[in-house]
Amino acid sequence: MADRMDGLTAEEIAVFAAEAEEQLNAAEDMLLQLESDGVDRQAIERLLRAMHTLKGNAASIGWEDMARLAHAAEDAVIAVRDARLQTTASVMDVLLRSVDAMRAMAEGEQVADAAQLVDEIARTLQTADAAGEEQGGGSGEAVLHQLTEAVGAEDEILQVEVDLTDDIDMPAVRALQVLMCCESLGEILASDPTQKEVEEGRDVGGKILCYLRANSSAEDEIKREIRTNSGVARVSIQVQSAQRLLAESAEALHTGQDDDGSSDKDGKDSAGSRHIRVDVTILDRLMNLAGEMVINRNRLSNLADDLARNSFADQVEQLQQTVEQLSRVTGEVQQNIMQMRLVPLDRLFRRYPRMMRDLQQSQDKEFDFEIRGGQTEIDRSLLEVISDPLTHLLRNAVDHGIEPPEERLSRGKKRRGSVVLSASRRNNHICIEVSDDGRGIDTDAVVRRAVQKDVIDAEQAKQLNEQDIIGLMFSSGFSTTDEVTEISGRGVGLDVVRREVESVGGDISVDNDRGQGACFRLSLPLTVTSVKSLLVEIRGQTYVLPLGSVRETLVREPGQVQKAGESRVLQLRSELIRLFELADIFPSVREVDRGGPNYVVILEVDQRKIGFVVDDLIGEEECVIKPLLSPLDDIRGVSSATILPDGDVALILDASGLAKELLQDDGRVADEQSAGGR
Amino acid sequence: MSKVLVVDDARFMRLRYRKLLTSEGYDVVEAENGKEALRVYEEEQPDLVFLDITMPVMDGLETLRELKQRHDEARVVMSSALGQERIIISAIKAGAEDFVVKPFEPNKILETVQKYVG
Repeated sequence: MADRMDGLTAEEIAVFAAEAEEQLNAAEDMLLQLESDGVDRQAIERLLRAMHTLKGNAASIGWEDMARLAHAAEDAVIAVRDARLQTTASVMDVLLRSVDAMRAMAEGEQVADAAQLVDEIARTLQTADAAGEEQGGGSGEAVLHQLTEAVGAEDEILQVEVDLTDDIDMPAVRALQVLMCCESLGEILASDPTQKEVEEGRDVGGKILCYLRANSSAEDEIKREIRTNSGVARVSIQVQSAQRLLAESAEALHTGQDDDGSSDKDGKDSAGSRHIRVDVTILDRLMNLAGEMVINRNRLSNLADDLARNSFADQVEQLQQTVEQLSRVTGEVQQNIMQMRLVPLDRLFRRYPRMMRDLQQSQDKEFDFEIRGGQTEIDRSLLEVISDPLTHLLRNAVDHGIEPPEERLSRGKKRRGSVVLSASRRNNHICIEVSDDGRGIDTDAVVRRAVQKDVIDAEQAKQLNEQDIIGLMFSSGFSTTDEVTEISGRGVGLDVVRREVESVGGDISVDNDRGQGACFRLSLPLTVTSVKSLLVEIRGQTYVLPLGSVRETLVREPGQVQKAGESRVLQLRSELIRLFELADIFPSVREVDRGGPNYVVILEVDQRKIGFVVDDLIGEEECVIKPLLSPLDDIRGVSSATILPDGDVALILDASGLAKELLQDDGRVADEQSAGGR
Repeated sequence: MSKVLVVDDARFMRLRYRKLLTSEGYDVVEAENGKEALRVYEEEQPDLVFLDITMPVMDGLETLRELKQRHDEARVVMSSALGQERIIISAIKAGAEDFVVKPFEPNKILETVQKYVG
């Protein structure tokens, strides 16, 4: 077909035809040999070379059909060589027919079924490959993982992103060239794809991401150097701080399953994630425990049957044993589940270094930020709750605490301030502190502001002690300011902080060292699903007091109580403690007067004690917390509810919130009375 | 005048390289397998080598390694077909400068020669 030979000289056509014939003959021989003698390495290599040459020659004169067919045949032979494809009769048959077809093409004939043959070979390969197919992995996670391994916290790292030109040949090779180029410019800490992945033939796509610790910091030079590689369409370089990258990497690793590129950039992310990873050993334990529970349940129901028939003492004893076992097992199950809910605080903490760094840059403050105890574990639902309060407290520490460098120097302090975020576990709660070595809280300014805001009047102001004043900062009247001022009162939004912390049964307190710094301390329960509590009775109703702030309980002896104006105080050892009747706060429809002695529950809140008078002490119980829904969620002094062992519902009191409220309302009187005792 | 060595077992391909490059003023020398390529390289000291991968006697990759070992300064562009990505990767790691992909594309080949020889 003369028209298909356009642009070629007679000599070229002759050479092409002769070479094609030679290669096709060789290919045919080798195929026959493979069919009769089995797979032979040399035969395969010869066959490959034949197909390869045919492909190259055909393509270079634009004989696409023939090139495609040779290419397909080559693929099939490679698959045979790599033992991905068996030399079955049908495979050999399609290859031989391909040789025939190419021979006809080389002789200038039109071959109708060339495309069909290509498809047939492709299908054969697909079927063969389907079994051996392996999936790739989450590459993003892998990159960040490499990075975590490689980075020191102080490093500055170049994040190099390279886009390859669309439709280039062999993007993997281009990626390799880019990576090798980067390697010559510095140390590659991590990359996607990695050089190894490229070498292993992983599909790389058109993008290369590389974290580079460069030899020289001349970004432009590096950019230029990378651009000299063929196939590079775009290079962008960003300087990143290692710490931030680490934080991101850790986050990505923990969230894990998130798809690579689409994770939220605004930081509202993993803290409250819906999935958690669970230690398999805990699951195994739970499985065992569940099994034991089933056994005991069955024993119980058998016993019930026995009892129905007999009703004798040894059944009762067995029953007691079974119940004991069952309660042990259930307790352990609960504990294990609680443990599964625990996550390290680092998940939350690691977002703060970046925030603090940005704060430092946007203000003329100089300080070091340190995190301690990030490995402390906390119930995952609490992470979400304390995220905003901590952000707030840290911001406050910088905004209102740390002084500008000159001011610090003039006060004889180190030029650089210090802000520390620390966490630790203390007995049955988690303690998180935000402390700084700044100016501390100017209590005079707080009082002035409180008077100005009509939170208190001038007369009251004179009576306040330090803790009262700090308490003022958390009151809503003080906090809801419409202006963010320079006043050293740290009141902006602290009421919100307090509300959020208390909503999960936590508590907030402050150590103030005026001129030297302040420390805000959050005390949080270990878990939010249940709470160790004291059950008390008030007017025939059972109420639940979380044990967290309970210090002691005592029988109220008539002589201990004194009247001080409208209020009553209890003399306890050397202290005078303000007493409140819970019955006044939670009046009951059932007006039961039990007579007999009353009891006092002593709580300590903000380093101050308060006594609640109750009718009876029922006992201690681990209470499962059930949230109250609107409109019940807004009852004064009540945080949630629980179901008692007898099936009744009881209210869980927000003991510390209530205590604070009562003490604040009554602050002046209590102070007058207790001043000597403190 | 810059000199280019074309190594390919297919006479047809060598012919096309020669035609293209001589028309652009380059001096072209040829070899039809790796062994020959090493000999010609030493005799002719070309500025650039186009090296085919699939060749009898001594294949492209082997030739490249041998050549780079003897003459580290040798600048080699692998001439490859689609589907030989893995081999090209090995070649780049072994010191090849670049690669061109068959089918023969005159513009790309000239571009490559200009890039490495000028």
